Amino acid sequence: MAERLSVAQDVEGSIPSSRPNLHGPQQLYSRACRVSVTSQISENTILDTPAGAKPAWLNSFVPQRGLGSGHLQTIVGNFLPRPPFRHSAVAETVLVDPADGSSVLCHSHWQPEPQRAGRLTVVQVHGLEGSSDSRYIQGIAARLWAAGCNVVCMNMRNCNDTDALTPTLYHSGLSGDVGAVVDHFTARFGLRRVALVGYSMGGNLVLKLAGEWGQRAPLVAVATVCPAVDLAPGSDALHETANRLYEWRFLRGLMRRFRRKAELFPNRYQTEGVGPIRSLRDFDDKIVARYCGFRDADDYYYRAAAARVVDQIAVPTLILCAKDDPFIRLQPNTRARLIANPNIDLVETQHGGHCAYLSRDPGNETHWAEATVVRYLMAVTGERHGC
Amino acid sequence: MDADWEVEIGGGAPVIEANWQGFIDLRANPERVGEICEAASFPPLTALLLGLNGAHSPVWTAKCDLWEPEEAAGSSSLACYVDLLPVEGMVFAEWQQAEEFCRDFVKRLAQAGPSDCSVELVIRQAIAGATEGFAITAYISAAGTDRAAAATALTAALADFVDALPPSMPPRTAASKLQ
Repeated sequence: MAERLSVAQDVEGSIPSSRPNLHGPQQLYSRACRVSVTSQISENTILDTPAGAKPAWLNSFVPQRGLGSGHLQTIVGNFLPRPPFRHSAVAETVLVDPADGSSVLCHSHWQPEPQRAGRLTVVQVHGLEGSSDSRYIQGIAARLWAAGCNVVCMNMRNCNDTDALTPTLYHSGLSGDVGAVVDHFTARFGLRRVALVGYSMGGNLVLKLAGEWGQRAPLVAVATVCPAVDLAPGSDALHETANRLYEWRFLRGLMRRFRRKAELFPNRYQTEGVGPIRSLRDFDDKIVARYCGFRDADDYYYRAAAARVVDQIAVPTLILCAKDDPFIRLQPNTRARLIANPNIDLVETQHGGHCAYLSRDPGNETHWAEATVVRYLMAVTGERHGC
Repeated sequence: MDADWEVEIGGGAPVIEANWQGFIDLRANPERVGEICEAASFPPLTALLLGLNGAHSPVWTAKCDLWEPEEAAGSSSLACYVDLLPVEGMVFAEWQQAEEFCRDFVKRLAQAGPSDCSVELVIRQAIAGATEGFAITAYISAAGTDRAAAATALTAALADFVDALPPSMPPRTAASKLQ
């Protein structure tokens, strides 16, 4: 209750009357609205916003029956069967760092010429140990494609079996890679409007880039789901007993990848002498920091966190997060900075788990976060083609 | 991982009744896993059940439980069991088929890396609706210096268990196909 009241106090009086005009006279959505959704959302009530301020893109989230806990949402969200997105993608590697020759693999869906350049292009970035094949990436891609957008599903370095495309590891600070992908396709197709979507670690990356870029064209909007903007608390939360399941799975994948990198680049990586890796913080301290130019894990967490730059975000930006997310921890000072930025719409739901948001509503609303992200992007960019 | 298998058939040995009163078909309704209180209290067991009942899994599950066995002072352990049945045929038509599956599974589990845990597979008679045959109860246990350490070890063991699952069932013998 105290937290809710404090959020309400922060929000009151801080609702801006207008957004920066990025889209010209056709802009359909021109009013920023900081939304903190509490458990009352199940009664279609949004607290902490003035009456009538609920934006059209935001529907109520009611967790699927029986999935009221964050753990259940998170786990079931990874297993719930769903139809695959069958539209074939164009696979292309994009050079992101000429200095060391690092490239990333992108799977893209392009609308036909001559509309391509004018359509909204959405670059999606997955979470830790995910890929362009991740279910949520495919889910949003299908919706965006149906809405008439170009969609680029980017793999972070090494992900989706691309270890040979870069001598480096990947980490949360590589927002420049996302920028390089945007620049590459913008130059190639003359794209006029680009939006970014990121889940979890990918959410941190796109928010970090948005803060670094400010109003730089062609970036027009950002949407994130459960972004890991405060890296240190999130990493430590993963080591809590209740979260060992997730930490174990992350660590197992990361260590397999590290051993693979050592096989591919034996002069660069040594697996001997690393010692036991018992937590994500251990991994970040002994491997990421050592091989990626950080002093230690804390230095990495500080320098790579989007929390440092969220006040510089200058385009409409959605941040969805759940209060029962097992391991994403939004720090009070970060929340205050998000709320203070008139370009950011922060939606905090009582339920949803980590990147799951399995809703009781049927059909397209079952994956509530995906539906909300797409509605948000359509609203703030005025995109309407396939809807 | 320490893994082994055995057969318990006849002589008052338990029989697996797959479609028991509280059975929830997680293949058709994975979202109902929250109704299984044993799993809800231990998220790694939730992940195990959904993994075992996943689209590409060769097995389905009928029943599970989680408990804390008594341990000597200074240590703690956590254990669970889960009944495994083949997707094809609903039950193993012959115990030799179940045996072959267990042998393969145990071999894979033994290669699943060092862990403070053990797996025991027990072949039992089973009934699934009108079909009679054989199924497997898998007992998975882990130990640690305290409950948190035991829970961490069991978390790892359950993840390894799903990963070590043979990708397909051994073929039935010619004799059983004629039945």
